[in-house]
Amino acid sequence: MGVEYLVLAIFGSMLLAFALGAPVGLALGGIAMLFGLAFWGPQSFNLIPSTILNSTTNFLLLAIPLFIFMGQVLMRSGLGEAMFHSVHVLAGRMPGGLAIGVIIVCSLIGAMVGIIGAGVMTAGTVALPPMLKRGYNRRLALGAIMAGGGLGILIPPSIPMVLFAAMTKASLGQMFVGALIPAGIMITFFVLYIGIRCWIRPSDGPPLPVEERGSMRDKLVAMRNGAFAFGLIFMVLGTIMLGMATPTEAGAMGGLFACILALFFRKFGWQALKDSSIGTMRLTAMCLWILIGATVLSNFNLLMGAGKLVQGTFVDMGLGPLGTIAMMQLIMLILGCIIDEFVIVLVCAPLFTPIAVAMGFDPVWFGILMILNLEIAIQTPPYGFALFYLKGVAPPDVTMLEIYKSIGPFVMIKLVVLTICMLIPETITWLPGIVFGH
Amino acid sequence: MKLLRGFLHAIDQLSLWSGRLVAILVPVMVLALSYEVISRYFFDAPTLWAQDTAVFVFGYIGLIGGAYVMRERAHINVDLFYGRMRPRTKALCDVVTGAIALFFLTLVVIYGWRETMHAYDANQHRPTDWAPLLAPFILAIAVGGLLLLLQTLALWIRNIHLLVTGEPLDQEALAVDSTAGEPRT
Repeated sequence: MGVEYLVLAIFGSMLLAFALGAPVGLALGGIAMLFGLAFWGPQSFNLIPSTILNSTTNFLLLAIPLFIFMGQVLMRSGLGEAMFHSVHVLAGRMPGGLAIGVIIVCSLIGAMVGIIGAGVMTAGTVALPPMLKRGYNRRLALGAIMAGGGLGILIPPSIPMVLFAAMTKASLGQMFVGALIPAGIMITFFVLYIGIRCWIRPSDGPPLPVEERGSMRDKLVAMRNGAFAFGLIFMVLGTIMLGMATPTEAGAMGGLFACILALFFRKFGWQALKDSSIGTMRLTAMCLWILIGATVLSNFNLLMGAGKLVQGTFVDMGLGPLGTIAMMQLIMLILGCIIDEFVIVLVCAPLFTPIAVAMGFDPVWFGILMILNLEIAIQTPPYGFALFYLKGVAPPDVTMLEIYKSIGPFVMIKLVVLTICMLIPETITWLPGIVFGH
Repeated sequence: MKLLRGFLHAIDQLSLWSGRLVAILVPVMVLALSYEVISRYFFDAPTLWAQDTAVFVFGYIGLIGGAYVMRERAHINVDLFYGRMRPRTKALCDVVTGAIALFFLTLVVIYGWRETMHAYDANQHRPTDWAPLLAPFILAIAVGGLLLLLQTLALWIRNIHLLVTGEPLDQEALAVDSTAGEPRT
């Protein structure tokens, strides 16, 4: 049996196991080892301990629990809620101001956490009811929350970027910095879209009545909260860009500073510390066990020559370098409708990145494209976590269908940003070149 | 049957408490690495131990936490079809996929333990300045794998019972621990 059939058989078993609802990491590892046993015998099992040890002693991956801890503490600190109230005060008078505020606050939250759940759930809990009450267009409100929350994985820190860097040896610091301009473009487009739409049709996002616009004191509190947010963002991004700390160490500093900030907001005690630690342990364990299964499978694939096979297939398609990249994006977009974004990174990064690098592309650029792609994956039905989180926290009269229908314009914007960054690589590569100088 | 229920309950408790125990290490990691940055940058005195300590702790948190997550059935899966199945059909799928998971975890435990013994016998050290013994780092694989294997087995037995009799074996303590069970991605 040739490698082609073996790869197809592995891929088929993988999809079957997914369809049966298997825990992804354990299924990937188990399938790889079953095929290993059938074709090479028990010696293929030697892959397991070395692969796991490489993962658990990879200093980059330590960034995962650290950034998750930081996000967990902040979620419990009340800073997110405080920022939404601030925006209410500052931007409520503009048409569409509350929805624009959701995007802005979610961007700030995105700079403090590396996942999408925090932004979507905080915005869905705190900012959605006021928007619905003021008569905002429902689809606009729902779409803005998912678009904003999704920025959590594009604006550094970002857990999928840590995973990508760990799987491909791309520089995590460069990825963090490289994501800033694409994130800026995306935020600008979101804000422009909401602003222009509500300017043309004010009934989609009515301004707040005068009596709700807040006093001078409210505005001062709002600015103080903003200052806290920027202080925290500096602790993470600033220390990386100034070369004070590695991304992993910046995660630790962020976690420490988040605890201090949470103490200041008086919402922090033993209970919150305990819950944050347990929450961090849960997420870290989930990530690590998928990572283990996925790396065992991808190491097995590599040994078998699956990488060369995939590369050959892409070459045979004769699409040219940029066409090949576009094809990969299309494949990931389709996968994104049915598979979790972590799984896409862990399965596709080791398979696709070497091909992109062999064609002369920058791995950092390719990685950010993949993250932009995941931005779409998280909210394309039927399977996307932004959808599920929002459904989880939205008022009961918001239906899943309504949430599905709200994604249209925002997915279009994300596609446009992905295309821009694909066609103009400088949007991603320019800033890391300046900051890290090469 | 009563003995079996007691055994499964004991495994649940083991997973719960081992998870809570390693969660204590999360703040340890934050403090160790923050200390390293502050000490290095402001006092020009980098530590020898901080990085290795954090790496060591990370392995135990991530690997041992697996059983805790399995107890809540919270490991990531694709529930596009699975989510719509009836309980007994779900049990059938779980028995099949559980067998694959058990196979993999058995290998993790056996080969993880062998590798630990090998590193211990050969007196291997970490390739860092502090150079701690490597074996305790590798031991996490076998320990975490064993706890996860036990918890997977406990769920597997429950699924077989549900599949065969159509009745759940016991009221599983599936309640999510404290308020920590939210966003994951």
